[in-house]
Amino acid sequence: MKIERKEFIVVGAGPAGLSAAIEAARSGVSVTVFDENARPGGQLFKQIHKFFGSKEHMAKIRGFRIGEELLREAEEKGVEVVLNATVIGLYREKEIQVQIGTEVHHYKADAILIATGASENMVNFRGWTLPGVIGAGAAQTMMNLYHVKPGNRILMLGSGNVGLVVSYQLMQAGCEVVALVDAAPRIGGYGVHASKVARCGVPFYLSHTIKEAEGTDCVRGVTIAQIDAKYQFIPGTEKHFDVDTICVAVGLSPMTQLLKMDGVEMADTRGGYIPACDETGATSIPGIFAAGDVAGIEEASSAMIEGRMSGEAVAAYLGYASADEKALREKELEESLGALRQGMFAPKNRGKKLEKTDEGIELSEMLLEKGYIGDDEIKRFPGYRAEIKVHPVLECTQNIPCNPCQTACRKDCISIGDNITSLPISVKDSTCIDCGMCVASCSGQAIFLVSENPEKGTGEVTIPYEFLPLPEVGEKGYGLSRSGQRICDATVRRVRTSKAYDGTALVTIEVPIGYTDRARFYRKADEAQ
Amino acid sequence: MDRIQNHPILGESPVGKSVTFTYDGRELTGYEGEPIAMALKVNGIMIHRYTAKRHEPRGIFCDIGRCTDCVMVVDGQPNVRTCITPLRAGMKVETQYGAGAEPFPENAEDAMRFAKDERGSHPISEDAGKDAREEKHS
Ligand SMILES: Cc1cc2nc3c(=O)[nH]c(=O)nc-3n(C[C@H](O)[C@H](O)[C@H](O)COP(=O)(O)OP(=O)(O)OC[C@H]3O[C@@H](n4cnc5c(N)ncnc54)[C@H](O)[C@@H]3O)c2cc1C
Ligand code: SF4
Ligand code: SF4
Ligand code: FES
Repeated sequence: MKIERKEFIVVGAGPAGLSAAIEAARSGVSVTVFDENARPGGQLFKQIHKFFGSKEHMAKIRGFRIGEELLREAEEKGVEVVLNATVIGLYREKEIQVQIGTEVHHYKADAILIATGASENMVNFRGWTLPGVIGAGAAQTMMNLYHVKPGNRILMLGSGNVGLVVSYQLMQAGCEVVALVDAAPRIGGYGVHASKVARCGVPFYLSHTIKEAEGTDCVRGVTIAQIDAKYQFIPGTEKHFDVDTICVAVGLSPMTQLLKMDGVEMADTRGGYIPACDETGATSIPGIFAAGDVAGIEEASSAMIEGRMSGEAVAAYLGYASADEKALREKELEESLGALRQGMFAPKNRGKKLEKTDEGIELSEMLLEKGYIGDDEIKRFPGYRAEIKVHPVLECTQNIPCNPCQTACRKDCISIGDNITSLPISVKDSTCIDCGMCVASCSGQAIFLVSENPEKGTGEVTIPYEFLPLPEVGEKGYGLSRSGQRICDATVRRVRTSKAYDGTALVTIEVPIGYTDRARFYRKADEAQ
Repeated sequence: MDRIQNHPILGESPVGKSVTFTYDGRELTGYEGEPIAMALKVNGIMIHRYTAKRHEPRGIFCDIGRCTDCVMVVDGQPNVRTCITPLRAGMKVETQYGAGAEPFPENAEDAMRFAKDERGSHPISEDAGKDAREEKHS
C-alpha cells in the first residue's frame, strides 16, 4: 500500500475548511483540501441571500459570492483543492483514505482538519419516501445550482432559518409555497426571515405536522394536522393541500462519522453530538482538528471564523507561527466569533422561551406564531417612528447579530451601537435622503421607507423586492399587509435598481394615507393572490 | 418540472448544449454535463427506481449523492447516483428495479403501505436520519 505524505490535510471545502486552509497557508503551511463534491464551497454556493453579521463577518454579501471570494483567496495562497474526492477513513495516526473515482488513495499528514459540515435530518410520516418528498438542501441544489424548479406547488416542513430561507428562494424561483408547517409551537428561525415569507401570503401552521403525503407513484397532495403537547394528532384538525412537492427542513446533524472512526472523544451538546474540542478545534487526538458545522451546527459566518482559528492553531502546532502570534490572532478571532454568538438565537439560548428583548421590550407573539408582527405591535419597537417626511421604519424586533443597516446609512438615521445584537433604532430628527441603501443592505428585508402627503391624502412606502418580473412605474395593484392580505389599492411610483443594491430592487408604492403603516408588499392587479 | 429562465438574483439561466439520451427506451433531451437527474426532472420523470423488497418508488431526495434514492441503471451499470452523474449524449438510462433493470411483475400497487424505510445509505452517513426522528419527537 502506497502512502503519500502531506503536511496539512483538510477534509471538506466548505467555508470552515477553506478558511482554515487559507489561514494556515498564509503562515507557510502546505495545504491539501479534499471535497467529495464536484465544486468547492460547501453550503455557501446554494445561499443566494444576503448574510447577517457585521462587516467583518461579510454581512449583506450574498452567500455564493462569499464562497467565490474564499476560493479565490485559497487559490492565491497556493492551497491544493482536490474535488470528487470522498474521504472514507480517518485513523489516529493522522492517516486518511480517499476515494477518487473507483480508486482508494492513502495519505498521511502532520495535521488533519475535519470540516465535513452537516447532513440534513429527516422525519418520518406516511408517504415520506415518495418521489416528490425532498430535502431543503435538494431544493436549493436544483434551483440555485442547476436552474430547475423543484416543484410547482410546494409545502415546506420546518420553520428554522433553513425552512424560511428556502421557502423564500422557492418563490424567487417561481414556485408557489402553499404553507409552512412546523410541529413546534413557535417559529424557530429569525423573525425577519419569517416576515418576508408571510408578507407574500404564505400561511404558517405551527403546532402542526404532516400526517400523510398522498400519491402512489409520486406526491399528489399532503394532509397536515395539529398536534398536542405530546405530539399526538388532534382529530378533526386535518387540512389538505394539493401539492407536487414536499420540502423537508427539520434540522441538520453534524457529519461526525469520520471523527468517530479515529476514536476522538465526543460530547453530547445543544449543538448535537460533536467532538469534544477547544476553541481552536483541537480534538482529544493531537494534530486532529474539527471546525464548522461538524463541530456544532451554527452558521457560515461562525464556520469561517472557527476555520481561521483552526488554521492558525495548525500553523502553530506545526511550528510555523509563534505562540505569541497565535495568541494575538486567536484573541482577535474570538472577539469576532463572540459577537456572532450573542442575542436571542445564541447557542446558549437554544430551547429557551424568551419573553422580552435585551432592551426589555415584550416580543411579538404573533411574529413567533404566525410569522408577522401585529400592526399595533410594531409601534413598541425602536425601529418604528411616525413622521410625514421620508424616514426608515425598521421591522427588526429580535436581538440578532446583524448591523449592515447602521453601516449603510451615511446620514445617521439608523443606530444599533457597538453591540451588534441590539435592536436597530430609527433615529428621531435625523434627515433621511431617501438613498435606499438601508433597504437594500438589510439581510432580513425588514426596512421600509415611509412618507406621507396629507394634502393629497396618500403616502408612499418603499419596499425591498427580489422577484421577477419587476413592477412597472404607473402600474396598479394592491398593497399587501404583513400577512400577505390585500388591504388597499396601490400605484407603483418608482422602481429603483442599482449595482449598489446588489440584486434587491426598491419598489415605491403610493397608498391611501392610512395604510403607510400597514402595506408591506405589493402585488400587481391581475396576479393571483 | 420547468427550467428557470430568468432569476431575480442569479439572472438569466445558462443554456446548455442540448443532447439526446434514452430513458427506458424513450428518447429525451437534456443539457450535456448537467446531472442526469435534472435532465429527467425537466422531462417530468419522478420515479428513478423501485425498492427491492416492497417495490416502492423512489426519486430524487438529497440531490447531493448521499441517500442513493436516485440510483438507476446507466449504460447497463446499476446503482448509478443520477443526481451527481453528468449527462452525456447517447446515455442509456433505465429505471432500476431492486438491483437491476428488469421490471417487477407488478410495480406500484403496494407502494403506499406505510413502510419501513428502504432508503439506501451513503457509506459514512447512515445514521443521520435516525438522529433526526429522535430529535423531532423528544
Ligand atoms: C438554507 C440555508 C441557509 C443558510 N443561511 C445562512 C446565513 O444566512 N448565514 C450563515 O452564516 N449561514 C447560513 N447557513 C449555514 C451555513 O451554510 C453552514 O453553517 C456552513 O456552510 C457550514 O460550513 P462548513 O464548512 O462547516 O460545512 P459545509 O458548508 O457543509 O461544507 C462541508 C463540505 O465537506 C464536504 N464533505 C463532507 N464529507 C466529506 C467527506 N467524507 N469527504 C470529502 N468531503 C466531504 C462536503 O461536500 C462539503 O463541501 C445556511 C444554511 C442553509 C442550509
Ligand atoms: S434611505 Fe438612505 S438616508 Fe434614508 S435611512 Fe436609509 S440609508 Fe439612511
Ligand atoms: S434591520 Fe438591520 S439588524 Fe435588522 S435585519 Fe436588517 S440589517 Fe440586520
Ligand atoms: S438523490 Fe441522489 S443520492 Fe440522494
